[in-house]
This record gives sequence, C-alpha cells and structure tokens, in this order.
Amino acid sequence: MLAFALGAAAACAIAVSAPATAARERETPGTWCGGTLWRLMTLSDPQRHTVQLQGTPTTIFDISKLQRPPRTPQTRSTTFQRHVWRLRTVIDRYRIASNGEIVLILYSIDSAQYMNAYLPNPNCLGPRARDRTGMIAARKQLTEQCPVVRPLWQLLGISVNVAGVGFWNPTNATRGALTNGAELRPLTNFQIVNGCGIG
Amino acid sequence: MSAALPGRTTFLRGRRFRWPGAVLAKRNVQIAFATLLVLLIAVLATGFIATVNLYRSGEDRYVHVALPLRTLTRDVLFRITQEETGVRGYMITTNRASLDPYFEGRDELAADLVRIRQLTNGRPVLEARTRVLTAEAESLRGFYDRLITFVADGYVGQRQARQEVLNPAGKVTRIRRTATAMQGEIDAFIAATRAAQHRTYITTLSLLGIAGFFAITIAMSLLLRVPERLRRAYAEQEEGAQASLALEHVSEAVFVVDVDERVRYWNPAAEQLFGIDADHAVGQPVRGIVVDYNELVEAADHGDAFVPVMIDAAERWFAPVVSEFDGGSVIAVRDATAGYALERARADFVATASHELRTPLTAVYGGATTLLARGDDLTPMQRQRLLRMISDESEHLTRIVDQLLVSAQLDRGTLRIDESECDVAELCASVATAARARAPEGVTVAMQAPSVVAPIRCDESLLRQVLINLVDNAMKYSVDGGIVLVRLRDETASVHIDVVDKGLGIPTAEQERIFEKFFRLDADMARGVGGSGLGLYISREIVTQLGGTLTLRSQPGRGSTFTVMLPRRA
Repeated sequence: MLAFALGAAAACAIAVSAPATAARERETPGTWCGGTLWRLMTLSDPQRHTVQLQGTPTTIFDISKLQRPPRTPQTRSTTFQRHVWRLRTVIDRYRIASNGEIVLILYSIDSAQYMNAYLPNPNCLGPRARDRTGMIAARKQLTEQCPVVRPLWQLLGISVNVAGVGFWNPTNATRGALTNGAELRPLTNFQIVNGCGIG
Repeated sequence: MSAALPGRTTFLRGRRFRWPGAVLAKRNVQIAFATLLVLLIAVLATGFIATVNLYRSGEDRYVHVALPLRTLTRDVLFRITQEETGVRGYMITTNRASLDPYFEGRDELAADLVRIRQLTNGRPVLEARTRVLTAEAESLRGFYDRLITFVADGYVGQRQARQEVLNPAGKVTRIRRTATAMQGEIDAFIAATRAAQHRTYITTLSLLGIAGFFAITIAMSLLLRVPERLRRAYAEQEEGAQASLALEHVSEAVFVVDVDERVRYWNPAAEQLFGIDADHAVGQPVRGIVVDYNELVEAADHGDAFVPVMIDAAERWFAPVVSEFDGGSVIAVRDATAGYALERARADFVATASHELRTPLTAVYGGATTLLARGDDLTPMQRQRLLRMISDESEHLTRIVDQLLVSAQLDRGTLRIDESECDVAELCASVATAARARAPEGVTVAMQAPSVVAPIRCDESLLRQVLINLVDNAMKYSVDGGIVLVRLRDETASVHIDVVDKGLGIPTAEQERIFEKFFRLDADMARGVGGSGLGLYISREIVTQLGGTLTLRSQPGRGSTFTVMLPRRA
C-alpha cells in the first residue's frame, strides 16, 4: 500500500514536475524554438552579423525564382540568407504554432503566389539575437492591431509592408510554402497598410 | 570790340562760339527725346512683360495645371471603376484573367495620383484634397487586395469576400465624392486663374494706356515745338558762327573767360600775341595762360591806356578792353608797344625841343637885353660879341625850326623837291667852311674831294640841310675833339659823301634806331649832347626822296661814318 502510495506519489510528482520542467525550458531559447535551425530562425546564429539589415526591396515572385540550395543550409551560407528583404503584400491567413511562433501566409496579388513568413516567439529571442527589438516590435504590431492569433488558420486579408531575413526551409509541404522552400524568417519589421482597423 | 559781343548769357567753348539759346534748345530737345524714348521703351517693356505674363500665366495655369488636373481627376474616377470591375469579375469567375482591368486600373491610378501630387504641389487646397484622395485610393486598394486574397484562398475566403463586398464601408463612394469635389475645386481654380488673368490684362492695359498717353503727349509737344526751336537754334548758331568768324580776323587778341575764370574762346590774334595755341588755352584757367591777367583787368577798369606785360622776357605794352557779360568777360588786347614808344618819343621830343629852343632863346634874350640896357656902356668889341652871339643863336634857332618844318612836311608828304644841277664839291666845301665857324673847341672840320667832280641833279637846299645835320652831329658827338672829315667820292654812277668823325661811335643795337623819329642816342644828355632827335630822321628821308641812300658804319668809341650816296641821273 505504502509502495503504491509512494509509487503514486512519485508518479504524481513526475506528472506534476514534467510540465513545469518543460515550461522552464521554454523560457530560454533552444531547440524547442525550431529544432536544429532555431538559431537561424531567430537571427541568433554565429553568422547573424553578416546579415544586411537594410531591407532590400523585392517581391514574392522574385523570391520564388531563387534556386533552392541542393542541401538545406545549416548555416547562413547563401546570399538570400544574408539579407533582410522588404516587400508589400497581403496576409492571407495566420496562426500561432506550438512553439509560440506566429506563422503568416503571404499572398502576392500580382503573381498569385503564397509564401510563409514568421514572427518568432519573444522567448526564443535571447540576448544574442540580432535586431531583437525589431522582431519583438513586429510581432507586437500584429498582435495588438489584429484579432487574437489562434492555433488554427484564420483568414486575415490585410495589406502590409514586411521585412524579414531569408531562410531556406527543409520542407516545402506546409501550407503557403513556396516550392523552393524560401521563407522570411524571422520578420524584423511589420507595418499594416490596410486592414485590422487601419486605413 | 564789346559791341561785337552781345551782352547776354553766353556759353563759349573752343574757338567757335556756341550761343546759349542753341545749347539750351538742343538740350531740351535731347531731354524730351530721351524721355520719349524711355516712355516708349517702358510701353514696349510693359507690353512685352504683360504678354509674356499672360502667356505664361495662361500656359502655367491652364495648359500645365488646370486642364491636366481636370483630366487626371476624371481619370481617377475611371480607374476606380476599372479596378472595381476587375475585382467583381474575379469574384464571380475566380479566373485571374478577370483581374486584368484591376491591375491596369491600379497601376494607372497610382501613376495618376503621382502626377496629381506634382501638379497640386504648392496649392494648399488642392494639395490637401490630393492627400485625402491618395489615402482613400490606398484604402480602396487595400480593400480590393483583401477581396482578391480571399477569393484566391478558396471557398471560405470566397464566402468571406462576398460578404464583405456587399458592404465596402463606403470606400468607393468616398473616393468618388472626393474626386468630384476635387473637380469642383479645379473649376474654382480655373475661375480664379481667369479672374487673375483678367486683372493682369486690365492692369497691363491701364499701364500701357498711361505710358502711351504720356508718349503721345510728348511726341505731340515735340512735333509742335521742335521745328521752331531748331529754327531758332540754327539761327543763333549761325549768328554765333558769324561772330566767331569775325573774331577770327580781328587784329586784336580776343579771348573769353567764363565765370570760373577759365578760357572759353581764344582767337588767332591771341594765339599770336601770347604765343599759345587755342587748343592749349581753351579750358585752362586764364591766370595760367595770361600771367598778367590781373594787371590787364585792373588797367581796363582804371582806364589806363597801356599796361606793361612781359612776354618771352621782353616788355610789351598792351592796351586792354574788358567787357563783362552774364557768363563771364570778353577781353580784347591790342599790342600798343609801337604806339607807346611813339608816345614816349613825343614826350621826349617836347622836353628836348623845349630845351633846345630855350638855350639859344635865352642867349638871344640875354644879349638883346644887355644891349638895350647897357649898350652905351659897352665897348664896341663887347657889343660886336653880343651881336655875333645873337646872330649865331638865331641861326641855330632857325635850323631847329627848319628841322621841325621839314619833319612836318615829311609827315604830311608835302616836302617840295626842286632839283637842279648841283655842284656837290662846292656844296660840301661851303658846308665845311660854315661848320668850321661854329665848331666846338678841339674839333677840326676838314674837307677832302677830287679835283673835278661832275655836277649831279639834286635839290641843293635839301642836300645842304642833310650835310649840315650830319656835320653838326659829327661835331656834337666828338665830345673829346678831333677831326670831322667831309669826304667826297665821285663814282661813275653816283656820288658818295662821307662824314667821318672820331667821336663816341654808335652801339650796334642802336645803329638802325638812330634814324627813327625823335630817337636820341644820349636821350638823358648824360654826355651833354643835345638835339631834337629829328636830324638823322630828316636826313634819311630827304636822301631817300632824292633817290639816294644814307648809311652808317660805326664802332663804339672809335667814331662813325655817315655816307650819303646820290645816283647820277640823266
């Protein structure tokens, strides 16, 4: 009985302590923020200083034309990854991922193409993250102006000016992904032009 | 001279006179023409500027702003409709080809808005309206982009789009209203432009009218007055030219000095008298040109006949006359050096003649008085001596009077010459003999002549007087005694009579002057030599009228030789 009680207590203790540990782990940046590439996703990688923060104007169509690297880069090794790209677009849908990241599906009116962009979880932005302020402000712009982000996809339909760092996603099967896997991740600037009560 | 110069305001420059009337008339005409020219230029400039302004204003406001704005604003409405058509078509068909009107309308609308912003720049009302229009166009674009995105998203999105399209929040209506309002403002802008141009037009016409009125007034005035003025000016110019021409030919030096005491006119006689060209004199201060200007003016004021002036280190005597007029003074100067010398010689003669006459008269008077009062007490020898003295002095008086008479006859040209056969040898001997009788102590009169001298034709009386004068002169100037030789030489064609003395001699500079009337070598009688100053003058004149010559060779301190040459004539 005692043993059962101890076992039950231990099990309860484990059951109680496991979420607490996970919660503690999520307060500090780590792989939970995006797997092995989480540093690239949060501009915390060792080559983060090679990124040109001044936004370079582009379009989704231009990005879709980029040649996907034969192997997904594990480091910031391509020109696309070393630039902040700036464009005007429409956000079709958005949702919040399990790691707290907000996923945006961008839509190009002119080329009828979709592309994904990400606003990282502020908890994933450690002191080493470059342009941390810009990333947090971008996320705040969306969360404060638009309806609450939910885990499920929601229609949004707002016109925005966004800027983000180029990122090659190993998978392109997710909703809204370009066929070449190119994404803007993380977004460093976010400005609503029209929608969410603006314009 | 003063009569030749008008006593009115005169302005003279250069050698030629320029009379004030002509100058004033010319200046007035020049001023009037200059004013007219300025007015005409002003009229032309105003017309030109006004035309350019009107053109530019019209071009700026109508061609470059108002009309394009109106067109662009209409185009905005069309583009909005085009966008709406494209979006609605896409919503119905979900075919992207239906979006072509939207893309075209969107791009054109953006271009139109850029152009509208440029045109309304600097025009506050239109600028504000443009900002609203741009914001509304942007909002509409966002709305359409939302719908397009929803349609592209699939069924859920399409349903959402259809819901929203029914309630576009009045975006299209607002932008249409804004564009329409903007058109109204553009119309107002055009009306304001028209009013501004009308004002410019009226202002320009007024300015042109005023300037034209003045120009026409001046032109009419010139047309009425210039010919008469010019006629008068030419007349005065001609008058001045004639006066100037007359002054060019007068013998007196005439120059005009203005109120600033600068020389304004300088005639040729002045050039000659003062030795300064008109080009150098005119415009210069008169005191720098005529050193004795003050003396000349003062002498003229005091009525003095002669003023001594030093020119080139020589003393000249000028007779000035000064006439003043409003613009300055006219000074006429006559060179009276010769007249002054003659006047002075006359004065000297009066003094000398008085002395010459008084001396023998005193002797005659004294001798006669003595004989009358004490004749009985005198010895026969004494009475004889007194009578001789009276006789000699009377003869002396007679010679002096004869000289005066002959001089007067020469002056009047009434000297009578009675020619006859003359025995010159006999005549010379007679003169020498007579001279010995009155020769001063220590003076010996000698005679030298060929044994035979053929007679010549002459006036014996006049020739005698010449020889007596020459011999008397020789004796007078032989103050230290010596021989006075009367030498007769008989040449083939002429007879020469030399009167030679070893006396004082005559300085070279005076050798010609001694033949001048009243000239005396010892004028102040420093050597006690008297005389009327007429002897040699009369002698030369007589010999000349007899057809001969009287010449002189002399060395100061060694004596003189006067030679009378008389030609032999048939």
